[in-house]
Amino acid sequence: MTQDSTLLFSHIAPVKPPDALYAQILSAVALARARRLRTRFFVALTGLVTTMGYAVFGGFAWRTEWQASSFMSMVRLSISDPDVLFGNGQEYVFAVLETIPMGAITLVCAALFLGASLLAIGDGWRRARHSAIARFQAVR
Amino acid sequence: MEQMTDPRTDAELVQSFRAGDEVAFTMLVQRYLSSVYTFLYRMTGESGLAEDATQETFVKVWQKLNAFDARKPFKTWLFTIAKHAVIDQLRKKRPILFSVMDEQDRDFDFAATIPDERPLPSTLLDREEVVRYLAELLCTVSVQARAVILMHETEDMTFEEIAVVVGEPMNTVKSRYRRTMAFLRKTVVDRYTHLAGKGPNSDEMHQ
Repeated sequence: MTQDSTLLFSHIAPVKPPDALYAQILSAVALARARRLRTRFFVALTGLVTTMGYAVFGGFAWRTEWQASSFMSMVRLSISDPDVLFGNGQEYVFAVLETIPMGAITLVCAALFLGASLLAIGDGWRRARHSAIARFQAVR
Repeated sequence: MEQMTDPRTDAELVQSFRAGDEVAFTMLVQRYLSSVYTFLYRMTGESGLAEDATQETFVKVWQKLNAFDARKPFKTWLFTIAKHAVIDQLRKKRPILFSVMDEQDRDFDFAATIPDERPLPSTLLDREEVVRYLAELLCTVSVQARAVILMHETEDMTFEEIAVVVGEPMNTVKSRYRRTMAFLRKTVVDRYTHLAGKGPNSDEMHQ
């Protein structure tokens, strides 16, 4: 059966792909990459604008939360009097955790993350423009 | 297409791509373009559909290459994507008939699947018309059966590799292969048996 089948298919000539197909594939990949970068850029930008907008419009509540919290006092205490840390380590850690202004810190972290993402996307864009695939972008 | 050969293995090229070397990806495309296109052309029977499916296959490869498990064979993974791409293309074009062969499975005749050990007359296969008919006939069997036949016959893939690509047990793949080959062989012989034993320049062929 194997010999038989080999005989069957050995007579079918191999198909040569069209000459332009290679360039079309790399062009499609370049387009897919551009689309992906664009989507990521707009998602990150929208997130950053939303975060910053929230920080500006909710600035009062944010500042109140920060001021009401004794988090910074606890941090200052650990710098000015480190002995407190060594003497009451566990209590100090619990106290710091309790005073963390979560809303404000989340906001700052989100803004930093989104800002860093935008920089990374920009770098990816710059590298993509000089990559091996980029020269096929205009083929389509 | 600028033909360049790269001595690196598929796994090394994948690693290079992950490290940011996009030339490695272009090498993979060059290495497999012909195989993938031939497979898809034989699957669809149309150059336009085959081109679209080939393009879609390599774009998906680029999108998913970072998630690919480099310990597994790249070719098997590539053909899995190609198979899905061609099914998508065929589905867009028309409903897939699962199929002439699958219809036959319902009235399964075991005796008919026992391979005929007699070789096909080589004079029959020398005829262009017969070979063309065989390629057309292949397009009438189910997508799964066609994929199995093509991967085994034109890509020299093992049944184990094909089982991974089609996502079926190896024994199912083997029996599907045997049944389809028996069907193809029988149909070709039944149709052209009157030509067997005649030379390519025989009068009968020119009539």
